[in-house]
Amino acid sequence: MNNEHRANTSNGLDDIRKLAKSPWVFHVNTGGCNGCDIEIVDTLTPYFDVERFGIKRVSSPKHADILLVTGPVTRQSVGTFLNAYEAAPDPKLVVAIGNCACGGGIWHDSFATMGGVSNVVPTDVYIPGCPPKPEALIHGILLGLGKVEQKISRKTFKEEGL
Amino acid sequence: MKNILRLLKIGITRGRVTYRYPKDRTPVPEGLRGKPELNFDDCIGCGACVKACPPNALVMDDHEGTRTIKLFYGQCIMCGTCEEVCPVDAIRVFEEFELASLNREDLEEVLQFALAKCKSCGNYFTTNRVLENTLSAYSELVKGYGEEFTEMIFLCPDCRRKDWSEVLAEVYRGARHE
Repeated sequence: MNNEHRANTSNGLDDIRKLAKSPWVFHVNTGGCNGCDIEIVDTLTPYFDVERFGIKRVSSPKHADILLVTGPVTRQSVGTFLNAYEAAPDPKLVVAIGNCACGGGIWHDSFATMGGVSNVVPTDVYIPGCPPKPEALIHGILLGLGKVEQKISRKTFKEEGL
Repeated sequence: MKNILRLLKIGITRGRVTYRYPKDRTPVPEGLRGKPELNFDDCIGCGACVKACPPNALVMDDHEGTRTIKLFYGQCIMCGTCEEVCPVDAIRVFEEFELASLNREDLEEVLQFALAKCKSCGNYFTTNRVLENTLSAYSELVKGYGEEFTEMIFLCPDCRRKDWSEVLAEVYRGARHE
């Protein structure tokens, strides 16, 4: 787990550990194409069955521990999204699902979007993919709860003499 | 009652259907396009993948003799176009799909190359590795034509155009004279 990163966001690491028993998720679409939303629904089906981890979808952000955010946060949806974010009680985990939520996706230079969730609220987990596989979603959420290890890391290469 | 019995029968005969993902790992379907990776040892920094990338996940920046190619997985749609266009097969699409990270920076791959100067005007125009690749590919073809054909590779496109137009003008003038 990356402790330094957690110190920068609103959520403390210990609080997240408390959440890990049975986190309830709320799904926010901020102007996505519904591709990622369908994958979220797929993870809730008996085939992937995320209730094995106690993960349950709720219909109000006031009951939620985890916000699953899809879409590039369009200008029209910023207010609604912030309302949902503030309604969710602390500690909460913000999970950016899909390319649009991670870095704006193909809308990264559009005037009508905020270019990703991290430009609006502190984001804890990024799950890239267009859309991510249901397995990737499960991996990402478990990563946020500290149950699995991160597999990807930043790579830099330089030619000699630079 | 009948329905419950029917369901019970299905439940007993089918058994468990849940795919217990982090514990069990079934192989991914054949032909799945996952995470693309740049191989620094093979890459020549030509920028063909950057031009082909539809969502601009690959970006290129030339600055003071350094070419930086950056791949951001947070924008990659795993289309595999970069793999198709790469002339040296340096970028490959793998089957890895677990790309979740706690940091935005972890989703980046950055490659830096040294740029070469034009022999005539002295401006940076391409990487040293592209020149090496071109030389090795065309040295057989230009063998009988003298040194100036090999020298032309080390000129930037503007100077090359100028050089050629001078040669052509010379030829044209000579032809008219006769």
